[in-house]
Amino acid sequence: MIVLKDICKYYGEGSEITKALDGVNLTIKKSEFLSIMGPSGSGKSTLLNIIGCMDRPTSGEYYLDGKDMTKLNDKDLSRIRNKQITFVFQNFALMEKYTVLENIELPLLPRNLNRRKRKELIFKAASQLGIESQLKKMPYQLSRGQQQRVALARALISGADIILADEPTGALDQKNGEELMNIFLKLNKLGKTIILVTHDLNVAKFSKRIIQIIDGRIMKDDKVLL
Amino acid sequence: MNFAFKSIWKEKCRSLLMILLISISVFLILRVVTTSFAFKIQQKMIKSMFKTNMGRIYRLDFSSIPPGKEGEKINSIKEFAMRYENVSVSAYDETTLYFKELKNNKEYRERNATILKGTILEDYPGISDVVMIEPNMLNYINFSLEENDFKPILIDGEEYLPLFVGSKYSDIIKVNTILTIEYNNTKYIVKGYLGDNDIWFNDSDPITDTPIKLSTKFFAPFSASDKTDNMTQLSTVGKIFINLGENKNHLKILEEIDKFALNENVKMRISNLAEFMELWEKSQKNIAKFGYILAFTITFCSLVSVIASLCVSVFLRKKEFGIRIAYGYSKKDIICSVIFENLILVGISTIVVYMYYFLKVQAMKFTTVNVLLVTLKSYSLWIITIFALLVLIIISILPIKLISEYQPVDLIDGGE
Ligand SMILES: Nc1ncnc2c1ncn2[C@@H]1O[C@H](COP(=O)(O)OP(=O)(O)OP(=O)(O)O)[C@@H](O)[C@H]1O
Ligand SMILES: [Mg+2]
Repeated sequence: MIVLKDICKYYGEGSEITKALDGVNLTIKKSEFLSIMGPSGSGKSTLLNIIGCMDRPTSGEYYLDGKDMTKLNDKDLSRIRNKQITFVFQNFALMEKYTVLENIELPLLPRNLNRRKRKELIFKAASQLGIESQLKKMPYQLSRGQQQRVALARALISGADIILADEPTGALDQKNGEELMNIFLKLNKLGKTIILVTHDLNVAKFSKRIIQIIDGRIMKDDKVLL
Repeated sequence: MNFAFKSIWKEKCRSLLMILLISISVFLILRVVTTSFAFKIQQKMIKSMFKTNMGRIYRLDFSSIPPGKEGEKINSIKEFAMRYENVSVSAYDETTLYFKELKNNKEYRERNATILKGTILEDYPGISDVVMIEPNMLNYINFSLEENDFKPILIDGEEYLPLFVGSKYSDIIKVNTILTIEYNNTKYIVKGYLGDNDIWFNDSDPITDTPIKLSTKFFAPFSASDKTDNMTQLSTVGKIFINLGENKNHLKILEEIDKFALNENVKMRISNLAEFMELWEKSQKNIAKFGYILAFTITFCSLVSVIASLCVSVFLRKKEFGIRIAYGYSKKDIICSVIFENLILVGISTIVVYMYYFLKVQAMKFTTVNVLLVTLKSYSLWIITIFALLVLIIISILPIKLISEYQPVDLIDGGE
């Protein structure tokens, strides 16, 4: 469970100050499927990055399963990013110089797993997403839809229960976007918590709860009925 | 966890270029350090060969002697100087000659062929390389033998001079073997062996040239006929030492010797060994200074390019680092890995250059002590290790600073 209390994120100082987040209170239960919407520059990515322990809030409290994340050091946060939370990015965020296999392997490297065990897990994740034949290729040799699957395989292999996705369909056509959302739905049914940022109401409709952010504040929090 | 090896492998060309640049610096520094420290080692070695104050030992150099009377004149000057109390005069010379018993000895020729391979004597395996001395020299030179060891030996009424043989021949030439010099029929008898640790002054110059190892030489006193032989006496020029000991009026003695030489129609220069060594040291220091300046300038330039290239590389990998952080690496992991990458580059360069230089120096054909090798194994090894660590620190500072200033979020954004 994620609990955010009065989270603020400010950039700059004095008259130049930008309040990217200005007092966000939010509780997200386990296995929720949540969409964050809002105009550009409203603070959606900032919020997602704070939830994902990639960024620290200027003030406020953030509890993940009861633990105060704002009190953890970098090493502990990296462990959270490795095991409890994982990301899917709009631009896929694949390492260009590394093969598909090496990209998917990434979350396993900080763990002490032997090569065979890693290979096994990679193959399993890749097969689930139908990219098992692409493992030796470089990312640029794949279509956008395939690249996002690689990114998703990397997220899944970590075994994290919370998946954060910042505009995951932004770089995909409609067909691939819908396919991806269906995968998210399936994962949500399996118990994963999914938090996604999107501009697109058609994408947000897949989720069960939509929150609206404007100027760093939550303006609306709706349960969606399918 | 550590991705240093992979990163280096993914950027083979860049890594090779870095290794090349670092290697150039390491090589230049290693070379200049080795040569200048080798000089110091050699100087120490020569200084420690003297038992007494080098400042009281002078050497005689002749620029003109009445022709045909060289032996006679040199001997008369020597004898004149010896008349003073506590003054000793002695000379040495390294020469190649034939011993009748060895010249056509198959075993000896085979052994010598391997020893002389690559030198100018390569084609004369029957020859012997003999260091001749006046044994009283050993009174002020540190050596494993004394003047007494060179007294003539009488056997059955015949006189033999003692001879010591390099240990490399010890299995071929047994103790008490008689050896006869071909050109003057002087008979020597083998009394013992000299090893790698027995060193003697270089024949070209006792002060500025590297001492020689006696393990492949013969070591013997001059014979009576040598003392009157013009050629033999001439070849000792520059290697005749006058030891004035602790005589208070030593300057006056020198003056008188000089005057005597003039009367004898001999043009002579007397130089003090300690002063000569100091002069030589100064000139060597100047040469070394130039070498250091050159090496450091080139090192500076190549390190600047290495640093620039590393910064670009870190900048280009901003996105990769961000991705790694998003999936469980910490910034510290990234920094450690980058340092490790640099360590590998510096390490490979240093080891390759050191090995190359070491093997090159080891393969050099030396009849002298290999001071370069001695230096490489001691001073150079330490200095180059410290230098490599310094290089590692210097080239790592900026890239690390760059990475530590990145925020994880910026890193990911860097790719968008
Ligand atoms: N590193 C930063 N330094 C200064 N200001 C920043 C920084 N990152 C974000 N901001 C500002 O914070 C605000 C929120 O940014 P954020 O990226 O969260 O918006 P967003 O809702 O994700 O927008 P978009 O839909 O365009 O992605 C913006 O005004 C942005 O300019
Ligand atoms: Mg955004």
